[in-house]
Amino acid sequence: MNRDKRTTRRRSHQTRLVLRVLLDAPSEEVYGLQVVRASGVGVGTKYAILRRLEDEGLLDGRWEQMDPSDEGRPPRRYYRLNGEGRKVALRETAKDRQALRLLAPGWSSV
Amino acid sequence: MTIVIPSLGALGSLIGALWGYLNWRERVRPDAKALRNRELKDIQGDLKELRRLEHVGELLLHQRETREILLQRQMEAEELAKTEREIPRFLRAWGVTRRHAPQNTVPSWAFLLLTPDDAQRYKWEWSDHLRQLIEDDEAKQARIDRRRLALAAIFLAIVLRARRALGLLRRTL
Repeated sequence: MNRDKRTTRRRSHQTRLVLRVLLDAPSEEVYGLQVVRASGVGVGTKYAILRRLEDEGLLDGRWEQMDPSDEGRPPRRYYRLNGEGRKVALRETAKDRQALRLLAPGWSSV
Repeated sequence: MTIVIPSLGALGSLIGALWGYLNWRERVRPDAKALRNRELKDIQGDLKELRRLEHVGELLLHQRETREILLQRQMEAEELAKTEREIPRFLRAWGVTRRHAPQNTVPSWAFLLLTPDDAQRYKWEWSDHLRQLIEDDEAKQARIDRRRLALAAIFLAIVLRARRALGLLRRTL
């Protein structure tokens, strides 16, 4: 019940932009900077959005398998939409896609 | 006592010789005016030489002074550089002094409100973000993002803690 409420509520414009980016490559894993660059969402907001989507169970996140001391850099965190996340993303971006189709009839979407 | 009275001819010859000697001497003896002029010229030459030497001396002195000034300035610059190195780290971090290379870590104070697990997570994730920006030659963006992430950390900590507290409250009730 609680979960349904969370997945059916209308999300913010920034969240929809992030979902849109994740939906563009549903089978690929993306990391934070890629989402920032593709969505244009502010860096502070974006990490909060990713965290919320992950906590809601819409995103699968994992750390890069590597030894930070060997590589001399921190591991990277990858995100990917799971099945539930994909459904929610499609629903959330449906209105945007519809609006885009009206504005640009030749526009194709996922 | 015998008085020798020379003949008039001999007396005339003696006078003539004396006259000739005096004329010759007058011709040969340097003229006082000419001598004075020559001495004056010599003095003037000496003065000129002295002035030249003085000028050279002044130049050398000037060179030495210039060298001393340059050395002084160099020492001052070294002193300034030393002082700059000693300027507190927080002033440099705030960009009060000259610009440094962008850092690939968010300041540690930003993680104070986050739980240790969250702090570790975002330390890694944001370091990767900033490192990637610096690698892509986006130093300016890295500086901007570093500040924004530091501020976002406070907001994120409040949101995450509030969310956890609400979850705990829901479960309890």
